[in-house]
Amino acid sequence: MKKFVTGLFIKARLQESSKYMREKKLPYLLIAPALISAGIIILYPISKGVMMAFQHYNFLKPGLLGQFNGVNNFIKVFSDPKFYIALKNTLYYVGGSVGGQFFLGLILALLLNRKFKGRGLVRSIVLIPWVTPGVLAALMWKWLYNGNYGLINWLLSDFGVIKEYIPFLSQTLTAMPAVILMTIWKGTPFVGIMFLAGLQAIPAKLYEAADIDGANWWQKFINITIPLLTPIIIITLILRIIWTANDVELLYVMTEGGPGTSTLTLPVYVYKILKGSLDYAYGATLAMCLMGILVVSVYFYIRYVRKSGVNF
Amino acid sequence: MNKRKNMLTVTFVLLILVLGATLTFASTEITIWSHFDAPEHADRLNKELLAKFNEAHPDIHAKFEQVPWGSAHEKYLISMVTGNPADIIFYPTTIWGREFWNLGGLEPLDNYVKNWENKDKILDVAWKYSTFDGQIFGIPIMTLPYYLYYRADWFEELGIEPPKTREEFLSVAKKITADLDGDGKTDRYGYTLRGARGGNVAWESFVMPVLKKEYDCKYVRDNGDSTFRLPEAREANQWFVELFTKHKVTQPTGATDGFAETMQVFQSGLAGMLQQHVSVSGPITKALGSDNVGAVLTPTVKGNRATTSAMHHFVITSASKHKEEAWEVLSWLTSPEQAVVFNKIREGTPVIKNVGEYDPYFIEDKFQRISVEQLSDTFLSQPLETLGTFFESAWPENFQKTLLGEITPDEMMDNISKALEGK
Repeated sequence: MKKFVTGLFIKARLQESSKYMREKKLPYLLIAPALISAGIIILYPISKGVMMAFQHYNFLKPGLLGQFNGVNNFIKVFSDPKFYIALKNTLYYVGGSVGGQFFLGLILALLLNRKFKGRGLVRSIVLIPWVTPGVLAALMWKWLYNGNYGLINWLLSDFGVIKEYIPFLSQTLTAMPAVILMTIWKGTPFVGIMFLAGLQAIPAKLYEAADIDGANWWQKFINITIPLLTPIIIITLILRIIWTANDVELLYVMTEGGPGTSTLTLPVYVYKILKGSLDYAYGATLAMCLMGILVVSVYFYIRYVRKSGVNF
Repeated sequence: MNKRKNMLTVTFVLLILVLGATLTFASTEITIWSHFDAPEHADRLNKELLAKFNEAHPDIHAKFEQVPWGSAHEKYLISMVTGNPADIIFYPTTIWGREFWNLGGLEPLDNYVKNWENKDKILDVAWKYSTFDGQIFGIPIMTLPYYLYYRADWFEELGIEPPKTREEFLSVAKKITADLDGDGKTDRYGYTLRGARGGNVAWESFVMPVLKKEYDCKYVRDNGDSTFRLPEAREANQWFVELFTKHKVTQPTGATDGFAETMQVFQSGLAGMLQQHVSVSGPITKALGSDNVGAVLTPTVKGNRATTSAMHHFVITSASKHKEEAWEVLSWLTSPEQAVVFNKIREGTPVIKNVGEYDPYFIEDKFQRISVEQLSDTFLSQPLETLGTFFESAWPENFQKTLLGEITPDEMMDNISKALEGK
């Protein structure tokens, strides 16, 4: 009898254990198709790119395609003066664009968070720059900036601000600021909408309590709005930094990296390498360097923010 | 009875469908990859040209497939490396041809051409640009050499003749450049400068002539040094740069203006001269009126004239599984009677001897006439591995920096020489 009961107990435990194992594995089995697809679409190209950085991969030299090249591609990158020009321009472009989007996006969010007539319509209209296809936006701004017929020059001239038309995209001094302004125009709606979502999650009671305590708008902004909005700010800025740093279409369509190399960023340089010399290994190496810089930057940024006590 | 009749009808229809399908699939598919300057070209070529061939050759079905210009080079190259290109490819420059040839991607056509009845009807200069390593790699079909468009109405108003030499060109450009309303701003310029990618073609027409006699318009000499290091090339470059920096006879945005911008500058009446090829004559005359636009050969420089040939070829790929059929299509397409139709649709210039006999349009049209005449002063871009880098980045970046005063013209020539030499 004792043996029977023990046997039943063991059988029950085994069945329980088997059920537990099945239940534990089930979620993984259910998400496996999505993970595998994502892996193929995302991981394969990345790993192929990493491999290419250590290989010969120039279609003008098919005999060497795929052969191991050690770290020679990286040595070539770090001894290429244009790499440093492109890196400097990338930092300039990202810093200016994302900084501008942050400030304008915050102002936009604060404005859209107020109650006014037609707010819903305005919230939709402000998204137009964001949803405009990049190539279209770049072409439109290219003609707006045109130094012979551009609308911007015409308006500035008509209002007496300038006497002669300015070739914004044909001068080293004005080309990058012009492109940054266009990128701010394009990216601000996204930042604004993200911040707006964050603002709407802040409990109104906090502002009411602050009012009772006699806090002015600035004190409320600094002590309530900013701290509670910080997690959203961090995520949004990380996304915008990554997307802006990787942008090719806006810059290439507007300036092709010119005049000279004044708007040549790393992604545009990669694109020109691939189109001109068909050296995919060198292009992949440049792309890996950019990826490395972004990953390290984001890591230290998140680490710093977490150390400051922000949880997200 | 009705049921039986219906069954017989259905069976008959099915038999027809199956027979039709069998006949269709029994014909050999020949695909031709080509970029097109206008979206409707592919459709017109398939309907107005290839339809005739397909009708006359029921065992072959040929069709053009459009390839976007921006990705054509990579697509053709990579497809040859991976072994799955189209049977026939149409491409615009022998530079690409040299790459494809070195890859082993092109089928030599000597055996096909030697007995071809139309081989002597093609211009000798076109055949000159159709061989690599002594073998024929493709059949030339179209050329688009640059020449000089000018505002005939302005020239008449100013009492000046179209320029024949570089010196006359500058003189004319200065006369056209003017502040017409006295407000201190220049209202029109003499020459439309293209400083963006692609602008090297016009630039070469002012630099290469000095390298024609001794160096055959090569970029790099046999000793590995670029011809752009030579003093005569530097002088020619300096002269051209000064059109913008010193004489200011070009539009101020010239440093970064590309194709679309330069067309706009000329068509809107901001500049009086433009270097381009025959396929833009349509939009230009539409914008300005045919009587107001003239065309002349590019000016000579120190007695010589040279511009890139832009010879377009049809080639059969070595990976094609239907080379004989591909040759049937290709030899038909490049026969004089079809070549003139092709070029009329594609807005190019045929490379046929006595082209006027096949279609008087190519002699009567003033732009086509100049294009044909310009052919005898063209050169073949030296097919170097580094030429892609030169076109894509070395030339535009350094030319723009020179125009903006960031580097000197000599530094520009040093930098592009290094790029061409592969250093």
